Amino acid sequence: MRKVLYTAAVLVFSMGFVHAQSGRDIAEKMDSVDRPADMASNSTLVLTNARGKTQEKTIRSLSAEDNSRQIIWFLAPARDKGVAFLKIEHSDAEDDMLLWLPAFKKVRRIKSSQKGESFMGSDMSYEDMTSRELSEYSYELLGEETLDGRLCWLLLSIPDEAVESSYSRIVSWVEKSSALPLKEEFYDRAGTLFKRKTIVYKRVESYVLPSEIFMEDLQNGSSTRLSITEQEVDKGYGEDVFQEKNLSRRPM
Amino acid sequence: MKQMPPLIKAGFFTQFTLLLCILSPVWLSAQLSWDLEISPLYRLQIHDGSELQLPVRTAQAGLNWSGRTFELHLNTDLQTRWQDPDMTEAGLREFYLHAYPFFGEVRLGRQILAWGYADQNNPTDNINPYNYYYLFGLGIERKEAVNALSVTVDLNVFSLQAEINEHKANIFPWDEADFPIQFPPEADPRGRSRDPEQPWESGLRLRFPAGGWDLSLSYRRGYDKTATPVLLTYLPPNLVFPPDNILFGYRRTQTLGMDAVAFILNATLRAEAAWFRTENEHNTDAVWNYLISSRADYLQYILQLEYDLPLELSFSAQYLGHSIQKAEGVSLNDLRTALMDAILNGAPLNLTESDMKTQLQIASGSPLHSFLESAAVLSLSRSFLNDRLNLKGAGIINLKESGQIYSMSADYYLNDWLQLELFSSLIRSASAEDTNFFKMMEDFSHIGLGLSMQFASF
Repeated sequence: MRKVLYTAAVLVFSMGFVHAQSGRDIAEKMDSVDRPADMASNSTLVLTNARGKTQEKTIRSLSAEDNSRQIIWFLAPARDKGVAFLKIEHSDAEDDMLLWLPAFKKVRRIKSSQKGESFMGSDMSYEDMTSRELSEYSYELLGEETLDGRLCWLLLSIPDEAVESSYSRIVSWVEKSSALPLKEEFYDRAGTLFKRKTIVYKRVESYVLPSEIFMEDLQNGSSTRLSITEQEVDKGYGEDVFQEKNLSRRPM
Repeated sequence: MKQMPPLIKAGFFTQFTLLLCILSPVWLSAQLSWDLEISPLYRLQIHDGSELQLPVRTAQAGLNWSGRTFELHLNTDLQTRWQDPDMTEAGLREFYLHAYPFFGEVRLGRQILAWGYADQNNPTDNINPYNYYYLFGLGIERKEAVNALSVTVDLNVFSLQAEINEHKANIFPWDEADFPIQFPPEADPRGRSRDPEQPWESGLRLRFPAGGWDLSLSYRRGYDKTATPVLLTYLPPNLVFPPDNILFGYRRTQTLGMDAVAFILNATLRAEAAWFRTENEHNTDAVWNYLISSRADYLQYILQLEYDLPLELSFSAQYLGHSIQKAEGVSLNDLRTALMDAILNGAPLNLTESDMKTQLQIASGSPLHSFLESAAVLSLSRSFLNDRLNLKGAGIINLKESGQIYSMSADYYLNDWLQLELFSSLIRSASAEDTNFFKMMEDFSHIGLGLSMQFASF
């Protein structure tokens, strides 16, 4: 009997160990997917509130270094035109997040605790727009599941205590063949399911990139659909593009 | 026939047109975009239900030409009085070239330049004059453009901005029963004020990060934006009567500024302070002109705390005020006493200086800092329905004398281009003094309804 219990304990322990290792492996696989050095895109955001009323926003985005540098200009509607957002992520310091407000002719710095706030009224927060640092999360493989006929790993990501996040955990459906997340569910700090994100990809030159992101707020019933209409990659956008002075200018 | 005043000075306009002609091949390759906002507004006074008889900015239109490394901005507006449509005025708000060379930015032309990290009440922001008709408006709506050249050089984490601008005075609503404040309160300077002989001002601003803070240090050399008594014309009463005439002008003012922003725990802290040294340097160019001397050092400061409360409420609190370190010269009271003595006793005019701390008129810096020695500004706001509905409540409380302003607003976007605004403003003071800012402005308390229609090219 003791031998059986011992064997069972070893098995349970080793399974957990294998799962934890596998979770990290999958996260590393996701992190190593081939991405362009930089990207320019035009996108449409369709915001739908709980009562089904919609509004549309159009944005122009330039990003580089795996989205760690990004500048976004709002093109439409007229009331948002001219507003621009610059994000520069730092691995060893607080991220720079700046918002240009044309009505004040001022750049306003956004604090990282505001990362959880809505980005221009959408269901995406500033945090949703930043890339997750591999080392700032612990991972666990929860199992496997088929999603729309595609075999996926079910990956749990938990932010480290030191990370300022509005989420307590994130569950991702990661396609086995591409290591790309097809769906993600975000849980709030109280552990309640908060948001669900689904991603559709398309091939742009040699890369597979998101062409549509659908984010649902499951607590208030609103949703945001981001459709990327034009995409260009590896255009050589250097550091000089991601500067505060470019926030006030016409989109590049 | 009454001649319309030129929108901008001819010399400047000629130079700018020449510049445009030289650059015409560049314009041909530029992209053109436009925007238009039509915003009719109706305001009723709370005390008697009558309509506020003041101008409103009912339309604004902008045109932008954009090239690879430059942009040309043209912004215009239309100000209307509903009671008297003949007084509708079209104006050129801004017309400037914004270039993006490798080293930073260059801006040339008639423009609004904003300094300071605090919201709305910026002691360091002294380039553009304020238009007091829009004192309770937001952002650049309250300001008038000036001809200026601004060059910003970015070097690693440092950003150095140098600017030179033409001096222009604040705009005050004279003879407006519904907006009764006057500056200076003792006299009306219209028709007897002098512009600075050298009307150019200049400034430097250095921005850099330090120890988790974003810091900025600035220096400006310019003039007050509000007129104060600077010269007395006095001839013996047997030659001319009345023998005296006070001339108004703008004291030379130097400003040292510091502003900072930092994130502490879950709060954002903004701090801004400006130290002003002002002196009347007007020339007594005739023997009958006497200098009304005044020299003063004073400080304006603001501390702002922003915090996100539960239920997605945004809270902001400001503590602001001014303190006068030194003020000496000839006050209006001294002046009147000396004139009485000269006129009644036939004695030579003798203007003696005294301490005028209690009578100094602060004529630079932010408007609220000028009126209030110490005040708190509190605001609470929340957005609903994916930012379609924005509710805001705010209060300005004078901490030295009696006086408060309370305001509430609700903005609702009916669709992408049409916004409905409901707002009210209540000004109260228990002060018995007629010169108390809040007391004077009590009848300005109003409720209002506005529409804003916004259109723009893609």
